[in-house]
Amino acid sequence: MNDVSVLVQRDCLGGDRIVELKLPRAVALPDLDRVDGVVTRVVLSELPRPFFKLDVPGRFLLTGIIGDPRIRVTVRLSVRDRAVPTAIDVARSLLAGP
Amino acid sequence: MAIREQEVVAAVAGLQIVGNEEGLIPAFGLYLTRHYADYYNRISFACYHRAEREGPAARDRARAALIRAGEVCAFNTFGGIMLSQEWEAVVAPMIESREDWAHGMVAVVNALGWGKWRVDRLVPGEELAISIANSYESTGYLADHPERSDGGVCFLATGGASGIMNLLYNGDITTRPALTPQYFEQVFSTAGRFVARETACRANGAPRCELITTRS
Repeated sequence: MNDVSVLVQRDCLGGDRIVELKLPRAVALPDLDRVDGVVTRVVLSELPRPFFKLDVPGRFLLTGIIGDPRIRVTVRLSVRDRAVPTAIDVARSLLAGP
Repeated sequence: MAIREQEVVAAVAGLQIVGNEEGLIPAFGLYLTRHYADYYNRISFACYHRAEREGPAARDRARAALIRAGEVCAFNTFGGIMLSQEWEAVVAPMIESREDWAHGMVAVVNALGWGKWRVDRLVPGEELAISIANSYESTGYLADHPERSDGGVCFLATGGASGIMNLLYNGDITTRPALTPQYFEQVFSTAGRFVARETACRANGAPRCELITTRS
């Protein structure tokens, strides 16, 4: 998992709850199925660049574009102190497939 | 112009931008607020009216401060939106020129419930003229106060308009800069920065609010 890199960690409220990562490969649609606890899943496949949004209440919101290796993880307050490890765990689940 | 505004508005509406259980709205790499327009309006107009009673100097300082608040909002919100994945997915594929960034941003604004903005004129690097059919600031003003004889009241929109030009032509949002306080000062406080003025306002009886942005 060393090839997952943190691009930026910040948020517009002066905190650091938004973590942007670059994965070693582009996100594919089946990757989204491997994220646990998703309550709201939005995939706008009709857009020129398909945007996705997976919400896991109490933990994080994951967003990104299918076909792009960059993802954004916005963590909830309860895991604020573990923002980067949480984001990397999310990346790990996305990449866990074949 | 390559930006297809109706497609942008429809796509942003499809993003399902809603609040979570924390009361926050994470979208565009930001935290948005779903704000009662009257709440902002009444606070800003009370501030402005109080300053007007103090005299022209206080009035001018209040106006400048309220517009500056709009520029701070534009820097973080418009800047954040133009750096976001949502922008990359929805707007970026339509962009063919730097000017399209301005048209794209206005299209996104038109999905946010701020009133219907229209770019009337954009001279690259020189001037932006925007008019608004139903700005929430002028609407809120007329709901609570009689029509004014002078002085527009669309402070946040004024700061937003100059924000677009400063992000595009005084700074360069297309190079994906970090939106730091230092970058804000560089882009919004240097000589030659863009300044907007409201040349017509519905609160003064005009049919549309008109914002002209040029270099200072």
